[in-house]
Amino acid sequence: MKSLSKPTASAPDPLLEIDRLSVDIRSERGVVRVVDEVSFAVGPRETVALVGESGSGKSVTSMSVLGLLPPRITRTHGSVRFEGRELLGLKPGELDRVRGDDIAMIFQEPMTSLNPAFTVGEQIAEQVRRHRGVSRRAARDRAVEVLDLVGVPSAAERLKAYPHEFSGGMRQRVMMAMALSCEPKLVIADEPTTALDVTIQALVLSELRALQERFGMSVLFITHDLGVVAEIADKVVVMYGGHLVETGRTAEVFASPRHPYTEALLRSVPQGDTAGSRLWSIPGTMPTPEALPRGCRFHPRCPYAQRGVCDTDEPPLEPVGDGRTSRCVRRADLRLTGIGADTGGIGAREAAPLGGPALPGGDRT
Amino acid sequence: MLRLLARRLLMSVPILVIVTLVVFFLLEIAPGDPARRAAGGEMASAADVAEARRRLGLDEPLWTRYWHFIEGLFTGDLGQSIFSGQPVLSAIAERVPVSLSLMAGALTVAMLIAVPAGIIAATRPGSIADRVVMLISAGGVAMPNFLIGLLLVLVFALQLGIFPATGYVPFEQSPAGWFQALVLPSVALGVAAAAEIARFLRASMLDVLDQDYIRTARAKGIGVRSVLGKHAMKNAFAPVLTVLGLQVRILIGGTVVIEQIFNLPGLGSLTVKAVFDRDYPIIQGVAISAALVVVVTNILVDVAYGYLNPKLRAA
Repeated sequence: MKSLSKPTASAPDPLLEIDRLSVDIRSERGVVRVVDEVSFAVGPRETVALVGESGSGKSVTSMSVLGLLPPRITRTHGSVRFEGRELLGLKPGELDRVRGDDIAMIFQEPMTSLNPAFTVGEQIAEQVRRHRGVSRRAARDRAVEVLDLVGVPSAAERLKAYPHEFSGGMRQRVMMAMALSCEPKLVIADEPTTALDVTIQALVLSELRALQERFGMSVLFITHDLGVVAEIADKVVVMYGGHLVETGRTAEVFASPRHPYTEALLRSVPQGDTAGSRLWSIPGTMPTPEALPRGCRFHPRCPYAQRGVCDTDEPPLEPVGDGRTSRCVRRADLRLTGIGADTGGIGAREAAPLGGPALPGGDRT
Repeated sequence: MLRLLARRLLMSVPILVIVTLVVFFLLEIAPGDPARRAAGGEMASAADVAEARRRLGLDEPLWTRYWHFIEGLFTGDLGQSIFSGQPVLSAIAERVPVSLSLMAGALTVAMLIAVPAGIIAATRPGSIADRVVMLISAGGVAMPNFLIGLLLVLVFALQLGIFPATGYVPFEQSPAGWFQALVLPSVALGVAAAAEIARFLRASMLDVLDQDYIRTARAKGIGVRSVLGKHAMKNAFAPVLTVLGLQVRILIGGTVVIEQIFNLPGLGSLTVKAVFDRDYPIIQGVAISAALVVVVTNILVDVAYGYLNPKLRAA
């Protein structure tokens, strides 16, 4: 179901290229770096999953692509290129032409992400009118079309309904319809299923997948749920403590992780065949960006951490072959266990609601 | 929406009944004998006073007089001024346009200042612009309107001569003159309301700008004007409406002072004169007119609430 066989070597230029992106946030206690030199790319028609626990910096990374972080308290460094064009530092007017048109976003809280004071029809049509310059009528027709597309029943009548008249799952579909309304080349989905219950999660995911295949969009999928990743992503990018710890193609990373944190994340995904056994969770908590440990940022929680090796210098992110990277200095000595991509995917799908007891649901943004 | 309106109209009936009761009996127990005043004051003879009492219908039992009073309200007969003999309704009708013009002017001034100020302050919290807005609005709230009025007259009428210091020109006579005459009193009356509304709008706006749907709106690329003016404003304005309703009530009281300062022939100056004269019918008429304005304002506020917040329409 995934285009994993696609050779990466001859891949065309990436659609989205994030290059050494750092984000500093100013607070009363000073400036903290919440995203630290993050680099990865999303190719055309590719789905990349950005994975990590709450506070890993994954949402901040995704928001900085469209300049959605509050400018007064954040400073962004590095580069975010879309189709070769630099997005960081664009004037608000220029950025607004990209937002919602070339790149659309779906957010994690469907209950609060729609404006309660406007009908859903108005909220979709407004975006179409702005980017396509069409008449009110044409924009309205487009809204019906996309609502229909994402499976909102009797779309034409529902156009006049307000968000509070929809269920959570339906609202997320409305969000998806809104995102698709201008046929974006890239959709950034920030935990789009986290706030939904299991059955709806599965529905929304398969819907997203189907739409992606139909329109050939790229998707940057932000999640803490590796079960979802197995189902949807071609590539996976793992973040911890504000920087990348491992990247690679999903099947390979799942089968043989090269970083203990990835292994830990995989271990905390409930497996189909472990029914009845206790769920495993990663001990300890993610360090805050103000108090990062010396050396490897994961070492205080890492079962393989070695004194004098892991707690001295921060390891660099290094290529480990096959287009993969890892930030673990001991990766050569360790035999980390993964899960079969196939069983992992299926097992995780069934167990999605329990996706990570150690991974708090809400994400810091 | 219509149901909401009908329900609010019905709810205002008991309010108005209570107002008439209070207005009627409050004046009944107030000191001073209107019959004696009408007969010529302290010097009048007992016979003259009794005659005046009969003429004014003040010798009838309390409840009968209250009944006449209510009957009068429905037939538009609010009695006559004890002093001038002019029917109360026509005395009020003559002056209502002045006071309503002044209040509309004050509200316009308030909104013209408060909306941009509130938005500017909320979009840049902690900035110099925000602090300036907050400082000025603190001053605007604290400064009494008569002081502002006198200062405005001093600078803009006496020093610069841009606007007339006092007086009123009816709209029918000269729209330009009407506008000129109202500028200074409207500003004097509206500044305090502007300050109050700006503070509320800022707080409400700050809250709304933190909401997820604002982030969604920004991600849609519809431009900062639409994000603020449309998506944020429609949500932020609902709490401000409550304040706006309260401000209308305060403005009614404010017109009394401002009309004195600017020598405007409105309800305020009518009231002041009536109070000194113990001209009960006029006072009653004015009080009921004011109550009507408040009731109508409340209904408008509720309807506007329903427009801004669709969840309330069904409730």
